[in-house]
Amino acid sequence: MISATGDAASGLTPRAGAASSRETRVARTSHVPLAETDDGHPVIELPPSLARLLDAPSASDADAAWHAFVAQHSRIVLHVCRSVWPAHDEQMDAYAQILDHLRADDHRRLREFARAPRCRVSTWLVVVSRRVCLDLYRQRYGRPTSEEGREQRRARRRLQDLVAEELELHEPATTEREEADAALRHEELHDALQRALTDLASRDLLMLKLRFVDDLSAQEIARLLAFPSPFHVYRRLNVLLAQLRGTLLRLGVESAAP
Amino acid sequence: MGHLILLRGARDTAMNATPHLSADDAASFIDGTLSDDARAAIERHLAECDSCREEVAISTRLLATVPASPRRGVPWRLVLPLAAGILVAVMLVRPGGRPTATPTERGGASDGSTIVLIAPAPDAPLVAGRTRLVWRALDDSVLYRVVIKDASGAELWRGETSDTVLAVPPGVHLTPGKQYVMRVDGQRTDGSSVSSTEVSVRASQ
Ligand SMILES: [Zn+2]
Repeated sequence: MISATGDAASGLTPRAGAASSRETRVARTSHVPLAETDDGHPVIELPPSLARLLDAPSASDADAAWHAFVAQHSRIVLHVCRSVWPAHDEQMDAYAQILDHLRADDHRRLREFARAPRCRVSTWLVVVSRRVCLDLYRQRYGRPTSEEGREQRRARRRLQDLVAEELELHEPATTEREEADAALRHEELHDALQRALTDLASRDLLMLKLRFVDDLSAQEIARLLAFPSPFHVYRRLNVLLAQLRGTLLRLGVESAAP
Repeated sequence: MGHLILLRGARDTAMNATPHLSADDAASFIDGTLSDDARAAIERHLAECDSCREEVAISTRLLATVPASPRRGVPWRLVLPLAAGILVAVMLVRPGGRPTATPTERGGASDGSTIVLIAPAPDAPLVAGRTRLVWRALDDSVLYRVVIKDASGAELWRGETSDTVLAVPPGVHLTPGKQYVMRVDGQRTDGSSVSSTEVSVRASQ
């Protein structure tokens, strides 16, 4: 079983302090209703069903609270199971496994999450459930799921190929000679694009990958990368593509056609 | 967080200059609840790590496509079969007397330990494309499965629904006059399952 919950020692994201000492103000850029402490850490209210579960005074109260919590979130967990497993029985196995995972050690993972929640419980459940599903899949079949495989195949389609398509740099060759020339120029073009891409800022590179490799919509990217609107994403994408085209022009490899 | 790299065998496509994202990190990034510094650090990791970026992208898409909660109350598709059941019950009541038969509620107790079948009526013929199974909803079920078997116990058809009614589709091959067995299984939200008793029905002649 994977360790799916967060780690307080995370080097990437410091965790919030004790909730009781928080003085809150409304966060500026978040799309989740939340507040933040003076030191900038988010404060997210625990859903009542989870608070009831973790504060249950007796075993029977905890049992009832667990059922209520599960009932509230079963739809989203099942949705994840269905996205990974095609067959009903396997979906139900994965569902049961996720519940076991959450319930283990007196709901240890939920308690860790609740200690300083930094995100919505539904989002956290999607990530955790998916990890349990993928782990179960690998245990059973010793290989990635078709979902992962598909994504990995997509990722193997190099970003430079996808960007080249977007820049409409590929032109069909008509003769054998042209075909050979085109192949050569194709490689030159891709090497040049690769170099141009590595010069981009991380955030810009991530945006291109989310758009062209992962096929996320401009709206989804705007949410993830904290842009004010999808239009800002389109604008930035256009700027980046124009920059890349300009770099290729300077290098004299603006087209795969000879 | 570094231990996740050891535990997640398949997440090895990354450039591992920084550890993979914890579930908290990934979910907080998706929710947009991170400080600017934390967000920038995660963006740098995601720009290089296919595995974590895919997780974020797929989870984002999953969150956007969670099916809406079903409406509370009686599903509209239940109204017709129930209305038909009431009609049959009324017709079977002799003036001044007791009903000769009740068409509904069999296949189990109503305390949640089994699924209570409401339709079809006990003597109703099984007709592919016409017969509908209707059962009483469990308080905490998420999915039901209807199974039809032949007399030898071989499974002939199974269908799934989160509703409490399911029609036997026209494509199910039934031999006229032959006896079949039907059962409804329910999956509870806690992962346990519960079934109706098996009901014997005869395919229409
Ligand atoms: Zn990673």
